[in-house]
Amino acid sequence: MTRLDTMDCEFPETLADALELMADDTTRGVPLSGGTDLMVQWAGGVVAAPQRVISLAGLPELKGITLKDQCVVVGAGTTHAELRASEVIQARLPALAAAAATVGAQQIQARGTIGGNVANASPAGDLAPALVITGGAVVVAGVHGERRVNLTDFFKGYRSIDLRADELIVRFELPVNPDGSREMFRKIGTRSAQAISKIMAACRIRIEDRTIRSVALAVGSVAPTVIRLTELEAWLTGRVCDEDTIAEAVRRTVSAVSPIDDIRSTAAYREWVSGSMIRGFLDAFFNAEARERR
Amino acid sequence: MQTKDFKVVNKSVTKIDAMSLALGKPSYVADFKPEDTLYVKMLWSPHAHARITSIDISAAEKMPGVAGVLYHGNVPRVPHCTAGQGYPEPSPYDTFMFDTKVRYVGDRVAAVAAESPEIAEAAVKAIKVEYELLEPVLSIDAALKEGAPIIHDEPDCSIPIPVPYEPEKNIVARLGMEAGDFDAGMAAADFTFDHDYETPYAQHCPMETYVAMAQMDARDRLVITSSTQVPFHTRRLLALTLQIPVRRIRVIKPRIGGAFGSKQEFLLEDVIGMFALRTRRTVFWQFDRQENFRTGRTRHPIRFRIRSGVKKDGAITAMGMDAVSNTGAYGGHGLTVIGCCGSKVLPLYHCDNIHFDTKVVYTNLPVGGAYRGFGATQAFFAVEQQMDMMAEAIGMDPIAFRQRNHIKVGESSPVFAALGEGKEGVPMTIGSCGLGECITQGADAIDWSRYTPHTEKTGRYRRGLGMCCLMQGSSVPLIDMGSAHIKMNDDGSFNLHIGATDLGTGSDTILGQIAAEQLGVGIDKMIVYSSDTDMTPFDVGAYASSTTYLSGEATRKAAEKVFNQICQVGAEMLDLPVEEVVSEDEEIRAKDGSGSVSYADIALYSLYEKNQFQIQDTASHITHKSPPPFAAHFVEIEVDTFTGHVKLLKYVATVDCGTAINPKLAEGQTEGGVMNGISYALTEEYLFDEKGKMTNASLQHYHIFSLRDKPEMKTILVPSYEDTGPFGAKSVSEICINGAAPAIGNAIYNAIGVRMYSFPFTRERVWNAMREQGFARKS
Ligand SMILES: Cc1cc2nc3c(=O)[nH]c(=O)nc-3n(C[C@H](O)[C@H](O)[C@H](O)COP(=O)(O)OP(=O)(O)OC[C@H]3O[C@@H](n4cnc5c(N)ncnc54)[C@H](O)[C@@H]3O)c2cc1C
Repeated sequence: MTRLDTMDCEFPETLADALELMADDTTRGVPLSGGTDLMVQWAGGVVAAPQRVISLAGLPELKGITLKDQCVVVGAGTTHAELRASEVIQARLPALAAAAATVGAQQIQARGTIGGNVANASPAGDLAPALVITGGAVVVAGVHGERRVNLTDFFKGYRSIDLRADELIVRFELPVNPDGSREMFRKIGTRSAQAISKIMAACRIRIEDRTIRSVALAVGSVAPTVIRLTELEAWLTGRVCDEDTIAEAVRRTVSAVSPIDDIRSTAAYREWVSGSMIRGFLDAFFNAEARERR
Repeated sequence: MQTKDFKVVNKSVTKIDAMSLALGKPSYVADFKPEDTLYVKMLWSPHAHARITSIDISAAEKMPGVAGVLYHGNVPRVPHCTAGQGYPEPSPYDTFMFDTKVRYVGDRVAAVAAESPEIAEAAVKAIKVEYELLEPVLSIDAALKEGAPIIHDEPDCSIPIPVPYEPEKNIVARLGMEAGDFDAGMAAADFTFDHDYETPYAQHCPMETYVAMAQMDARDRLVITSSTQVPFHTRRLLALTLQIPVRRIRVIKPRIGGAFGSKQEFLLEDVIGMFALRTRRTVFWQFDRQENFRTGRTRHPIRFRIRSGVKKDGAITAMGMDAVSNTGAYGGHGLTVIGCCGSKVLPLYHCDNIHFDTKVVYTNLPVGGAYRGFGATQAFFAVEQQMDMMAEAIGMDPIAFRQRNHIKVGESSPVFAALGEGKEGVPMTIGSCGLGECITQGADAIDWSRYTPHTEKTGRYRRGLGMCCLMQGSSVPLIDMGSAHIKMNDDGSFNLHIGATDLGTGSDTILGQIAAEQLGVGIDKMIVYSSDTDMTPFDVGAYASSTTYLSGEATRKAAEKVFNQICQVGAEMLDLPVEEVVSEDEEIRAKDGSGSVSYADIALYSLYEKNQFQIQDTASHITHKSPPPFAAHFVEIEVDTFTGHVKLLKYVATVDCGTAINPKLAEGQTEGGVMNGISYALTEEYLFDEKGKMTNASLQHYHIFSLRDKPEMKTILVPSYEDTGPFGAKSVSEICINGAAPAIGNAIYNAIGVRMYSFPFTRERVWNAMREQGFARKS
């Protein structure tokens, strides 16, 4: 095992330099952002520590949150603390702000990044559901240029993402929550801080006159990777949001997920509670809409 | 001598070690490690039950930097127990430094001492072991099954006291008692109840894991510096297992980074002691967190059947407890923990017809030990929920039901006389009890008037109120002994030497306060030194809620004797008979105002001037009672019926600990204990694979309740005065852990009408109970 204190570490100062290093077998290293996944994996012997790491900390191209047209552009090096504190994220991507606020605890949020969370590709990565409900894309780059991949396609399967060995995640392009829509994020862990999710879900929905006009639903930790409930979304669209609709949505959610028993929870509980979460979302939105109509 | 006019006790003086700890001064075992130290790593058993058929240490021994390897083939085989209890211990001698058999995942196989932890680790990997796998016994039922594999089949295990011990049946102990006529009591009831409950494993999770260091001093004596609650028992057990005389051993306890009962155990010292004897080097060993979980001691999981009967007027006609405790692979504390399920719980309520029948069994699972609350924690979970069921059946408020039935001053219970520590108990009449007031004040603080039945609650989020009453003991009567030595210095200051063991609780401070109060000086005049087998007199150690009550009274008695000497010398100096002088403001004064001498004058006089002698004395104390502290805990929760999440909103803990010697520390003990209890009730859980290996042996996966979830908490000290305790004090630090599980269990029922018979109350378990008990959503 490589000792952490004897590992080679490169500190490129531009994205181009970093991509140069990544392009070649002999200079390539493991990209290190906040290190909150990597350091723990290495120290615990889950993953052997590599010979070389490439620090992304000094890359200006990976920083910043900007609103362009109807899209929020978030650099891959943005920390959870920056996400939750950003007024743009709070106002235009509230589910993402809420998700970032549930990652680990303050210390982890100060170091951990959105790029690391996505690239780590854990089924329990908390940002994933909040990202995929936006219908947005991730932009990755290699020496030969950029690629833009829809987030839903980017998460390919268990711990697998559409990223080549010579590429880095540069930024996320996330369409804002349109006027009249609402977003919610809900995470269930054993405790409020420092708990990896048993399950988490995010939702973006527009209800008008008791009718669901558009809806995006995503659930995490119930399948090899985050899932969008696209069939349910299609079924819900255009329906009146009443108790019958909600009950059927719960039923469909439960049959759409495929959770497992693991150290954090049981398949049976996850199945049930995924339905409950969707019920909770629809209840809350429906009641909010009803209140506004009154 | 009831006096509430205290000068030093009942005051929140600053902990005497607070500043040095805050400044990070060398305090803990690891801080004292010299450069030239050997490090120990253990090869732990990967199997729950196996025989070692061959072991080859030669490759490990030859590795550069390896100073030695220990295994069953090169150490003496001495049956002993690892529980640090009285002598002879009420625990079986079923443990060996190393054995040819392993009995749980995390049992010892072989140890390496090397120049660095890395070398030791590599050498451990180089040890080749072959095992014959045996069928593991992974539950109470499996242990008791006809023809079950025998976990302790070695011929040389035994128990050193005359109590039942049947290792061939995997039975470590049996204990029971009867009072009145239980069956008749059940028959006389208007309502009877019969329910099963189960309490889980848990680990103490102190910040500082198990750690100890061994050194040979210049005169070839073995000096052990250990994070232990029981330095004197450790010395005795070391002499036994290393087969050297007690006089060659010194055990020192420095500051401890938490213990909570886990370090009332002898888990490291024999190995490092043996290495030190063989290498003449300093040997250091500290568990990592995984070792602390797997090999460290745990709370005994216990299965209860509680049968009880109640009359419509609220009289409890019968109370029966059948219990089986799982002690894991070794039997330490097995008998005494199950005993406390009865002795610290059943006396709380009036009942003439009592049945108590228990067993303790071996399994191939982690080993039970002492854990704050010690059996009472487990039993109160069952009994206090059943109390609520009885109250509900007769339509009485749970508070009124308890007020009617709880034990009061001047009353006794047949349980006190029947159940002791490995022998009969000691009859006792309650001399102080503030429980009634605890209940009243706690009910006010949580606003119990809002209590409505669960049938009236609707919606997704449902709130519930719950409460429970508790008692514990204060030391083990006629068994535990503490002692103190005090001497006076030139400037009128005093050295207080006590065997008692401060494990972060603040006992050095409060024993200093007790001595200062009795001597008539400020706490700044006390120099306290504790827990060093060469320098301090004997004390059993920190357990059984004994330090304040037992060691405190020894300290007070020693101080009283020294005080009398001071008066004598002062009177001599003033040329007055001793009856004519009084002590005030660190002076001895003539009652008639004709003169005075300061304590410093007296010290100098006695040391240098005339009739010289050292003003000093010593006292020991055993107790004839174990006066219970009492407590009432109240909790308000909110259950999310969509997720099964139990959210704590408010927790009120009231406690009668007699006189609180240091109210801030008593509150700190209570709040810490409550958080510890909440954590046990809500989030902590040992998970095992099908082969008996703990799968979540890390703080990442074993979840301690986090401060983020901490509810609003209120602690109310309700004073009483226990005449037999130092300045009216009783114990405080164990009782507070017992309340969370039953109070929250009762609150869950009050919120959603679902009764929880096991815990932790995780979302999964609450949801399962909701399903099983047919919880129906009403909006
Ligand atoms: C105590 C603790 C609690 C935690 N709690 C949570 C939690 O509640 N929820 C949760 O989701 N996660 C949690 N995590 C995991 C982790 O903090 C998050 O996933 C975090 O967002 C990872 O970001 P990072 O910048 O630290 O990643 P790093 O550790 O630096 O990297 C993680 C992975 O991403 C790769 N990577 C990083 N940046 C890029 C990039 N720009 N392009 C390509 N690859 C890249 C790395 O090579 C590595 O494979 C926790 C971790 C700890 C230690």
